[in-house]
Amino acid sequence: MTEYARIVATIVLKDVRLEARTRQTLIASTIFTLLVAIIFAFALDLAPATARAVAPGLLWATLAFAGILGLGRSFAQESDHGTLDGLRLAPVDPSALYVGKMCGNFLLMLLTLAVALPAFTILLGVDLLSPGVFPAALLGLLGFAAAGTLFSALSAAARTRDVLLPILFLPLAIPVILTATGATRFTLSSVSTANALGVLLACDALYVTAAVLLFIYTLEE
Amino acid sequence: MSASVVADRSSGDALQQLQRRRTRLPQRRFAVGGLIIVVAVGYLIMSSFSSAVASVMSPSELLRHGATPAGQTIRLQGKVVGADRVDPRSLAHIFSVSDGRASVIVAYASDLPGGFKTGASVEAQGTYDGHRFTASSLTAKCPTKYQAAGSTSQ
Repeated sequence: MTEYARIVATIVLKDVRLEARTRQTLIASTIFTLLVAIIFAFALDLAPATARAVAPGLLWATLAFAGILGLGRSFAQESDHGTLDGLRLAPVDPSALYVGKMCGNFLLMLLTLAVALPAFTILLGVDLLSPGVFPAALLGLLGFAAAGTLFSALSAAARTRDVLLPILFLPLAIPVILTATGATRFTLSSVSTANALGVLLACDALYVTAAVLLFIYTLEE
Repeated sequence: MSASVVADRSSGDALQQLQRRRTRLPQRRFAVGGLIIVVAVGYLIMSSFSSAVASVMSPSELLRHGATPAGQTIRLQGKVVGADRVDPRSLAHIFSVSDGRASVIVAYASDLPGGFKTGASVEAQGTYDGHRFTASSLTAKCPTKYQAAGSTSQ
């Protein structure tokens, strides 16, 4: 078990170090998030009551598309650098590679969330920084990263991977996005989110388990 | 000669053991993973089933129950008290539904049904946020029995 955790930590550290050096994905996803928040704020010019109703949907649509930018790069850069073969040949449990990659993507999406929440709070005038928003946000992003990492590996070898990833992945991410949007909306209206969080947790367990079992097949050529 | 045979046999055993471990690990993983998937899918089905079945409540029961959880709808039954007004911002009809003991403010964003008037029994389906019941559908019940045209004068 400790060996498994050590492999996962190695993969996460590698991805974090690579991102810290290049900052390609981080800059792209955070600037995208800021721009979308600005466009929504000025294009829609919402009244406070309407803004509170639509802000969760706008937030999660933005997070989904910003997340795809990062997920697409996750395995594509391994393929471009020729290091995907290295990962394939590594004498380790393939699921540890998946869990490491998923944790790396999850961390990256947390940084996007850290930019998105204050940006939407300031620009739309909705309190998205209240503590109740965070459980739904964390569970939603975990489910998103879990399914997205699997599809990133699946589409990495394809020539049209940039188009293929959203087409394959978004239909599967819809339950997570919609439930997380609902949970965020209920938090803003002070309604109990227990049911929505339970559904998110079940989706996360489903996606992580299925991806751990299926990841080995995405590495085969 | 015999030493090499023993060495061959032991390396063969080790290989078999390794192969057995390799096949056992995915089998066990698929069994545990399958169980987790079945439990998660079961929970999702149960939660969607319980949220789809709307429980019937009177205004006093609803006030005791408090705000509805996410995704759960409730059927609120009672009589309309007072006149309805239109919220100028959302254009929703706002009116009160009472059961004689307590009343709940209901917001309905569509056209009111034909039999809707003060004192009429109504059934609204929607969610309650602790302050206001937001109805997605509204049915007005006829307060009197249908009678033949001639029988009313008798």
